[in-house]
Amino acid sequence: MQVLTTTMQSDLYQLLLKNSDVAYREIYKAHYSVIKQYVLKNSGSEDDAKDLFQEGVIALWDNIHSGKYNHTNETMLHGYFRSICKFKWMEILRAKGKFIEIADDGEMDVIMDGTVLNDMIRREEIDEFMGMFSALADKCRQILSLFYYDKKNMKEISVITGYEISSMRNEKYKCIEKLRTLYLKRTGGRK
Amino acid sequence: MSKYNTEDIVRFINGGMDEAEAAAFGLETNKDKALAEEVAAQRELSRVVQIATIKQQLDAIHQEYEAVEKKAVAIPGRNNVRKLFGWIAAAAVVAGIIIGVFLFRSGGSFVNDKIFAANFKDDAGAPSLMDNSATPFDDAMVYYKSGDYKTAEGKFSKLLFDKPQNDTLKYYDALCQVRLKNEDSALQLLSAISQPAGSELGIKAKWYSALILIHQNKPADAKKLLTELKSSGSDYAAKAGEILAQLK
Repeated sequence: MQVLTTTMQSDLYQLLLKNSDVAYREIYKAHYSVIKQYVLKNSGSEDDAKDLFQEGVIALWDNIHSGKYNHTNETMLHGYFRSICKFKWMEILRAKGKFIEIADDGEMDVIMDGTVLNDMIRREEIDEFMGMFSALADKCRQILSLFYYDKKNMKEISVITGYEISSMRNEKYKCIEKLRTLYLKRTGGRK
Repeated sequence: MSKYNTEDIVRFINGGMDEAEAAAFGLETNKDKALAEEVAAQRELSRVVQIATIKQQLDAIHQEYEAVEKKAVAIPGRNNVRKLFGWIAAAAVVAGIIIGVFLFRSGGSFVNDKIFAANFKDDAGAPSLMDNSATPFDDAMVYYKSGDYKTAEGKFSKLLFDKPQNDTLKYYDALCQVRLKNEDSALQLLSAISQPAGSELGIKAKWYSALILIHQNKPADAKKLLTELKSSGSDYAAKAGEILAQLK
């Protein structure tokens, strides 16, 4: 496995905490080709590799933000990411009823901590979230992304979108309510 | 009714409150069940939006890298050059036959294609920085100018996602879309440019829209725009007049 310094990994961790897209590019550059080779060698296609990689990044982000991944322990971020991908791929193969005989792990030979990797976000859940988000109007998607993801305040959002602050609040409220309705409808309110 | 609004709740969730404010908020959630439930709901909604946004970003990044990778793969190795020339020669013969049949069967469409090919030139593009101070727009522009339209389009559309009202972004995204053979998307973007019809961008949007319509064999629609351009007194007036004369 490529040797990555602790400093680099801490930076990446900080970038992921801040929702910087630089983080995703770094992960892509560092891992995508390895993940792809791994999937291709183990009964998967290029599309599978892409899906697995994206699911892995989202699970990594989710675990960091929910506190499931503890950066203060010795688990290394990149190894943890590859563990997630490997674990998820094995789950996919298992679900497909394929005999699991993972070919030479090579660079994917990473420590797997089953307890940390349990209860990760599932592909179906990501698809559900995408479905809800896609059902919103462009403007709502933009406002909600700026609010929740970029963590912009109302003034900043109004500058970006061109709304007055007062009407922006109203728009944002309407968008949140639309999303809330979709969320309750699709998930039945389950967490 | 709670004194806290959604912005306060999200600030709390994101750790944006100072210690004292967060402590007071925590106490309030213990007392106010509705507030506690709203905090939980906001956590979930925030998660939905953030994960969907990340997924979109990952799609864009994947598309971008894939384009670069495909471009690299497309460069033939020395061993393959002879084989490649053989294929090119064979393809040329087949293409010649197809073009012959095509010319014979579709006179008007061929003329329109010719007009499009002769007149559709990339915009010179905005000046762009390539040093450390380069903005994401500069970055997209560099790809556009280098002819990597797929990467450029990915970047322009991402910027457009953040600034959907920006006419310049719509314009360059549209020009990339033409090169990527997505002419309907290009027309939509160009028609969404809100700057006045007589402005520089308005005139350019009209010019490129007319060319796309010609390419799509919609000469009647193109003629309307060209007629407007002809009398616009702009740099495109003379060319618009020439094309109007050529159109069947």
